[in-house]
Amino acid sequence: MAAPAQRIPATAVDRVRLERIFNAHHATVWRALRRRGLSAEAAEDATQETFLLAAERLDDIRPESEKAFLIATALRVAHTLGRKTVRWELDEDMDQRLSTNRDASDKRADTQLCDLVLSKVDADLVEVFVLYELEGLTSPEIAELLQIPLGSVASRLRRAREQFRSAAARVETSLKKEGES
Amino acid sequence: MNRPMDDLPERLIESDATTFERRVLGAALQKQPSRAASARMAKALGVTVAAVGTATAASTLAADVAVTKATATVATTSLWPWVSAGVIGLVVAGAVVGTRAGRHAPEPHPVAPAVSAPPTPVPPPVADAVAETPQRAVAPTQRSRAVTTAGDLRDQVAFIDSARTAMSAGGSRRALEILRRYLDRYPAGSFRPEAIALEVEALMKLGREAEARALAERFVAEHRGSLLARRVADVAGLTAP
Repeated sequence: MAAPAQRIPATAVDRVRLERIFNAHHATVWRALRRRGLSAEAAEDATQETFLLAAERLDDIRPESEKAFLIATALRVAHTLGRKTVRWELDEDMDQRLSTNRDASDKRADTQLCDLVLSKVDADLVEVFVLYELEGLTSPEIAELLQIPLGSVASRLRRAREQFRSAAARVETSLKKEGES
Repeated sequence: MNRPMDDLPERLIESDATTFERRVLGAALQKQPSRAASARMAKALGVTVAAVGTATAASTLAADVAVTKATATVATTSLWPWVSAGVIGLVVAGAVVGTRAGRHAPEPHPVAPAVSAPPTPVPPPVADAVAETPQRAVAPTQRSRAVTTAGDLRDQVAFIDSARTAMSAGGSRRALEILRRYLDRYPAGSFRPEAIALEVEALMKLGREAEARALAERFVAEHRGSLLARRVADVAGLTAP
């Protein structure tokens, strides 16, 4: 593999484009890698590697498919690191902390809520759910990215939604009960 | 956001999600690398971290750039790899930063500069960087005559990207249309030399050699000695400048 210095785009406009897609999508790429169970530091390295790979293939990336290309590349990078399945990370004491830190204005509490709810969605479903519902990819993009049929995208999304809504309802009910007690 | 162009239902957050579900979904997008981590990654890539809010604008740009739906392939004989002397410094400065940034390296600023201090001031890649670091002088080249806003520059990049995509896909006529619109809209644009160089290439591919040569001669006269001028001369079949 070439050294990073040799992998930086050779023209000014390419570098401007790389900068644009970095700013638009690096958080999405980082989140995709974190969902694969990489630590924050490992996700940072893998995000960097993802954009270096993208920099080498800027000419091949259609402008309308930049995000999908980057996520697909990130997942391949994660795969090489041995992260082949999605794992929505949940700290062991999440439920306990949740009960003592649930101020609606507290972003940290909201993030914990999110982790708690999404951890209840099956591992083979949560990636489709997140890519569609949060990252805004289309079903053909998801099908290509995860190498699954279009029908599987639809069925996984349907089941993921059921599990997500069920988990969200349970957590919300639990929070209300605690608030009343 | 409109309903996606596929057979799936509307996204939850845009349809019948409850307030609590929206709160959970919104929180998922709060997960982001720290500013320091973003700056480290950007530095390693030789790019600049945009100001908060630029990502959204940039995402919008991607849709604008999609004006050409052609699938890009690598153009082996493109003029594009050649840049004018005015931007060589930028390229070189970026290349020397290509070593991976150390995670624990001290960060002098919350937002790291894209490049180490170049020997001569060069235009930053995007105008957002100008806003954040006003102390960075814009290169005293003819490119700096026009005051360029972030939106302008993004728009210009979209034009050039689109022209290049069209050219790569064999759409020289389409590329020519895009380039002419760019040159009309930005007569002193940041990428005017590159646009004219691409225009010469497009004209040659369309068999309009007389026009291409006339344009190339003017270009070479204005940019005598630059790498881009030599390349333009080569493409148009002129004697080397």
